[in-house]
Amino acid sequence: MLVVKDLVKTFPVRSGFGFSGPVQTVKALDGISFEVARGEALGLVGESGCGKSTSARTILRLTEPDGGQALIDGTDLFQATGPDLRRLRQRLQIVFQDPYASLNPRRRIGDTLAEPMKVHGIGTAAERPARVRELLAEVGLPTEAVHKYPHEFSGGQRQRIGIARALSVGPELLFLDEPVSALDVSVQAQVLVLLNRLRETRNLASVFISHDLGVVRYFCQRVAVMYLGRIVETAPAEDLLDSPLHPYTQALRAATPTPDPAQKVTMVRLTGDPASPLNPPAGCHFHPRCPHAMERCKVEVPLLKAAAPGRAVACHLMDQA
Amino acid sequence: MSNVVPLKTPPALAVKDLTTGLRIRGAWHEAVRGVSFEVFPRETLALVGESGCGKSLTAMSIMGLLPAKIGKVLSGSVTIDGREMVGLPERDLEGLRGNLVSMIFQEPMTSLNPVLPVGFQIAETLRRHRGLDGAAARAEVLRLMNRVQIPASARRIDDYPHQFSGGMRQRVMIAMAVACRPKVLLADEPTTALDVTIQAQVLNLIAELQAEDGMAVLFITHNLGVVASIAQRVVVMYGGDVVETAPVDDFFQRPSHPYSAALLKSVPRADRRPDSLEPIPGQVPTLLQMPAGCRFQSRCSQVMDTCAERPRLLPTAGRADHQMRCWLGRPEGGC
Repeated sequence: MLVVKDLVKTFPVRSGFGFSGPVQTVKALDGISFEVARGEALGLVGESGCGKSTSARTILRLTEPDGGQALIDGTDLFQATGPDLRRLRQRLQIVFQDPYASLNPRRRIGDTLAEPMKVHGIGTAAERPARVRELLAEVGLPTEAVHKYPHEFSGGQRQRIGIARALSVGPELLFLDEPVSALDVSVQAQVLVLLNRLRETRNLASVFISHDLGVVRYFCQRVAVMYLGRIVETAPAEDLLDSPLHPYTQALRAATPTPDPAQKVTMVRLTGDPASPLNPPAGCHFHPRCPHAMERCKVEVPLLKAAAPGRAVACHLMDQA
Repeated sequence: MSNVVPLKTPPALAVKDLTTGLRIRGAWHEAVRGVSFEVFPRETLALVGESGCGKSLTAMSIMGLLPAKIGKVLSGSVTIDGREMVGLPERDLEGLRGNLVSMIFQEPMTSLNPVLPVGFQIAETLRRHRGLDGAAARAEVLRLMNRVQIPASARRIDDYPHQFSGGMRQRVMIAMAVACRPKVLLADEPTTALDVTIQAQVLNLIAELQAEDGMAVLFITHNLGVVASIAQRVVVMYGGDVVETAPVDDFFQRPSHPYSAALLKSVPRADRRPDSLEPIPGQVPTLLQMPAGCRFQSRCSQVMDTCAERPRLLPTAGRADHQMRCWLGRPEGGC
């Protein structure tokens, strides 16, 4: 239902203080493409600064894109304006990572949940309180929550409020931007189980942004791995984690700790920090850290090519096999 | 694996019956209750638990860093390399911190001074404890920066913290911490804020330094995957209590306390997808709402009448070195 094609987003960066200094541009998203089917959860994984959150914000037009298309059932979000855009946005909602920062501390929960319905003209003023109570029940919060303020809730409960707010306008697709990273393990599991149930009961599609491969394996059917603004591998979740093909995915998987002393984290010779997006390496962005880098990787950008049914990889090694 | 520590070696860090109180609305509440454990040279002990379980407070008590008016050690003892730390005057503590025992924290940016070059900050420890100055200190700083594998250290010694990435900042913190070859390193969630590939590098670095210097490491984390990767023994805390302690292999094979078992079932794993994720219901009660007796009883699926009384930490799974604080499997009123 959501098709993203060649999405590009650049940010201007000024070096030096204030408005002096030369303007450079950072390519936060360098032509990324993916699709999400109805009811499907697509995981978007990668390290900080790789462009995961930027892609969600750009598709929702919380920041304006610099190129590409985002089609919802064929209608381009990036061409829409005014009432058309609002109607499209009703179908796509977002849940943020930090439940503390994304709720208005001075507003009662009932008002926070009713606000999106007002904006989108859903229901009448008389109907809304009942809908708010339904939403609270759906995310497992008591009805009394309506009269309370955000500070009266724990992190996990606040995240449930964030989810209820996103659901209030009846979306078909949710962007979940690290929705459980700020939570303790036991609470994280509660929220994941809730999200999984909502996916099934509402047939919700989602783009699940996370750096935690374990969480992604639990929640997502397909995964796209990003590195410095490009997608380097996409595959069904199980395949990606059991037999990663791109050297970067392999390194991520090997560095992810699992609760099993027989599988300790290894480095797979992955040294160095991710390169700066300000000045990304030529060719394959990953080549300075890649244990298999060849001459070709330094000059030629590898394209995302089909590697197996349902799998695509952007790596020159694939041409050799 | 390497959890065979010769019994003759005295522990580098011994915590005995440590009880730490927090002052809330004028009354003292026990936030750490009678915690005991030992860490031996070259050993890594993982202290595991969720927010509010008392793991960081335990570390602060060991370092003598409790905020003066709201936190204090109510009873118990902490010895490092045989020296008692509890009750030492601040002056004496200052001589030991950074020297005998060091600590690294979760967020290196807030632990470093943003307006001083990193080289200067690393040298501070050397000036304070080893009396090094000038060229000697600078040479030693360079050696330390190389030791923690900061690339181009000679060029970066005068850079400021904001010019370093998160992983490199944590290396700077580690360089400061190991500058005086401490006997004990307390690591409080040092990799939680880092990306996984950088986390793996930092975990490797700590293990390498430990192998060279023979430090005892107390590694505080909530991440059971990290525990499995680095620790030889585990201590699980809940609500200020040690609820289970075991060698790492035994712990993951036979997590015995209902909390440990539930925690392991609620972690989504990268290596296989469980049929279902079983969350622990509810949340950790606040200190003011803690139930009497076993503090996990409000969330435990196997709660019984006896849980109103606090169980003792006793051997389980037929091993002296695997202990838990739970009434399960014990004769009622026994022990």
